[in-house]
Amino acid sequence: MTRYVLGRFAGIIGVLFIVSIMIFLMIHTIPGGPFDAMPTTSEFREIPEHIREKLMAKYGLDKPLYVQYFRYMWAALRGDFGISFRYGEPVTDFISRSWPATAQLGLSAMAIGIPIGIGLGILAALRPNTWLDYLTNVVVITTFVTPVFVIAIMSIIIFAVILKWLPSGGWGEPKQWILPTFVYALGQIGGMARFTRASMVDAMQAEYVRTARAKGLRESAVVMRHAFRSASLPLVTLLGPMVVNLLLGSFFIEAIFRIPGIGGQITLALYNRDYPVIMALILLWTFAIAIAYLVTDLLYGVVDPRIRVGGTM
Amino acid sequence: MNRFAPLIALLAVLIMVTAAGCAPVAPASEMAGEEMMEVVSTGGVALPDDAAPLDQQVFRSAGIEGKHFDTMRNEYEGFAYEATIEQLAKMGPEGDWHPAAADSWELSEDGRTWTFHLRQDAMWSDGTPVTAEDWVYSFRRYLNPEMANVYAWFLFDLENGEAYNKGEVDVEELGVELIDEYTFSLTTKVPIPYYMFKINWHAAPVPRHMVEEHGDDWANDPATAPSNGPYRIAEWNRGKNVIFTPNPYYTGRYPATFEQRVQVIIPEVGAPLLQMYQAGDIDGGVGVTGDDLVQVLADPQLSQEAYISVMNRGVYIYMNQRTPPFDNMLVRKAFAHAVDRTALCDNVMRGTCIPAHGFLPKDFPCERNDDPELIAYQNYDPELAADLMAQAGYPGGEGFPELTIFTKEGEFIREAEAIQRMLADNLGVKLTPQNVERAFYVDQMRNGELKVALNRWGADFIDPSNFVDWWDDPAASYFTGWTDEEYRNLIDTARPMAMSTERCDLYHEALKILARDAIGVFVMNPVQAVLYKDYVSGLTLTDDGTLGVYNMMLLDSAYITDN
Repeated sequence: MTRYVLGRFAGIIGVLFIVSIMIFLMIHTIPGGPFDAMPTTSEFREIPEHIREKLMAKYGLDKPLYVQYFRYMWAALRGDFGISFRYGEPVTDFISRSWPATAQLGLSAMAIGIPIGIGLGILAALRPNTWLDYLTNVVVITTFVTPVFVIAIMSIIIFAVILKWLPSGGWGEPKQWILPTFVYALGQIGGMARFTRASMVDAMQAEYVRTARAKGLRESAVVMRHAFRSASLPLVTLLGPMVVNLLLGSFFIEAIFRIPGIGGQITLALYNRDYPVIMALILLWTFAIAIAYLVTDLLYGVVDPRIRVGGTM
Repeated sequence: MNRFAPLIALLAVLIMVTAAGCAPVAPASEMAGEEMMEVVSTGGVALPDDAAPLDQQVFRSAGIEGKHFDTMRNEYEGFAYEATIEQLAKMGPEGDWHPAAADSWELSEDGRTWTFHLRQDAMWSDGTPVTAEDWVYSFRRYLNPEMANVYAWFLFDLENGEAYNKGEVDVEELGVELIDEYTFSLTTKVPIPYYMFKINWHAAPVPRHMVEEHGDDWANDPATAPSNGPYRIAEWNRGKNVIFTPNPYYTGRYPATFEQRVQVIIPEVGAPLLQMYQAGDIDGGVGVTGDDLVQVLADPQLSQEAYISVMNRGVYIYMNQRTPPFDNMLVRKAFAHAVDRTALCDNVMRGTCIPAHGFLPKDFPCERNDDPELIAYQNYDPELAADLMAQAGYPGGEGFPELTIFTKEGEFIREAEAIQRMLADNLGVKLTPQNVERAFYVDQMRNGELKVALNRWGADFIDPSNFVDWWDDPAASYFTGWTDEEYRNLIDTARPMAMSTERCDLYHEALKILARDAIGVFVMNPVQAVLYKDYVSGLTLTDDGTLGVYNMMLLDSAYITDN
């Protein structure tokens, strides 16, 4: 077991190196650089060449690409991920001050969205093709297909503009948490409920469920201990990346509700050609996804003893 | 549940008692307070009778996050506020200049040297005096080659400004001179009669004592970033807001009326500003255009709070004239005559823009967009347009290359759609609109891939030179591929002249060349509404009740009323 985990960790480090090279090459290959035109103004103006050269030199962008890469990696290995072109502060500071908001939002959305999603999915599966199932389906499909920014803006218009119950956005006071958390959770409920329903419907028709019922087990025990346990296997697969996505935030939610998190930052950093921020966030993302899959694989073993890895646990 | 019942009951009783006890008392004491004395702001301003109590004198606006507070490193990177930086002079609503950090100023006989006499009791918000040395230091630092200031070119018209910035001459050669503790002068290369606009658009002093102690980091922390204006920076909560409070050492002409000014930080894209304003999370300064403007005008409440004006912004079709097909003037003229600007503004944009046939925005100094001669160069005339296209060798659009008409940053998407439709209908050409991000757009422009785009130019300062000079700028002509002797002579002659009809005549001639040769196809000027809540009173407006162009005094006497 320990050997297995260690082996996977070595693999993750390898993946990080490969990803770092790929991303580094990609961000330097996409057209346009951070100092091509005046920042933040839309009117097009050229930065004078002698100033551009100075800026490129200041950030080490005048060196050959492989030199830039090795410099970056050497610093990164010592925990220095460079200085953001856009924010002028070290990337590590930027991430450590922005992540808590994103993580809090993601965890709260998860705490609300996942149980409700699973609950709705189970309910729908227990009464397939009844009004309950159809109602759940309507709710689920509506939240699933409506883009999150539409729901977000609608919720602001209803709760902040018309009813004036809640602020339109911002982050700090608990009442500012409510709208984004629920809108974010709503997005999770749809996906979660759909998958739960599908795998529960299958499980409920399985032979071992009939056996369990025949043994005279209470229906709740049949559903939770027998059907849901095996039905949760595909959910575990779904949960891994979902948790990572929630912890790393949503561009739309954070932009629309003005949350100072990292959710919108990859997009903005790409837009601003803020190389250090792009690199750090994508590496972080890669790392988180890799860990999530590792945890998922280990969880399979907990849920289903047949696929336990690395021998006995 | 039962265990807590007594507790809940007790709590309920307590709440009822407190509420009952408070409710009648609070307004009574407020009333008494109001009647007995007027409200005087911490900044020392006696507020009018209808002013809300001091704790409500907070004005909140929205803006994106700056990188620092240093406006003399790169204006557009820093947080720049008229609230914290006191400039030499302030432009009033009618475009008139009023003393601010300078008590007075004079221009030399040859029109090149501006001498500023500073207010002698000025202090930084940490109690250190503001002297001419701070100002001289700031201008030198702005152009210092080591600073790599991307906006350095804005002061290139100072004597040796460009040479110093390129490291070719010493700082002593720069046209910035310290005369005594409270006097300094700026000398320009050539006479620039509108120099007050430029200098007060960008220039503010930096606290030399802090820069010398902390380096550029001085501007990252409110504690080391004192201000010389009516407000000081109290807090910078990254990603959330910046809070300004009255500067205790301010002794100038524009003392703080508000107890707090707050800039709510919004993300670079995506924040629903109008909804934030409607929800009451910001109090004003919200500019809306396009569909939001239509919504504002239709709303009974919002339309009351809107100040509407034509923006100082010209939208035009940019064409790369270095290579076919736009090296052919006939093609450009055909484009100019094929765009139905009235249909665009009235129907497609639902009245949120006004048609234009020239580069200067409506009501800008020297604007003569109603001149029939100017209009005739680019008026909508589909038959003429088709003829010109045939003469150019593309009858009915035959043989014309398929091109992408670029727009950037989510702007002008619908305008570009409409224009490509008009060009397709009237000329038979096929242009595909594509909206791209800025970095890609600029890259395409630099390498000549961008042949045609819908672009805009906005005023930095109120002088026609700001618009007409762009076309002759080496950077611009590099992209357009266009230079013209006659044009250059006209604008070079006009530039040093004092504002007069003769000067405008010259500029108008230059603008006619742009229209005549269809160097750009001038399409429209957007209309904007700027919103201020009705409880924000005392705005300094123009005589006819508009916000005014670059009115730097707008909020100087503003306050929150008690309704």
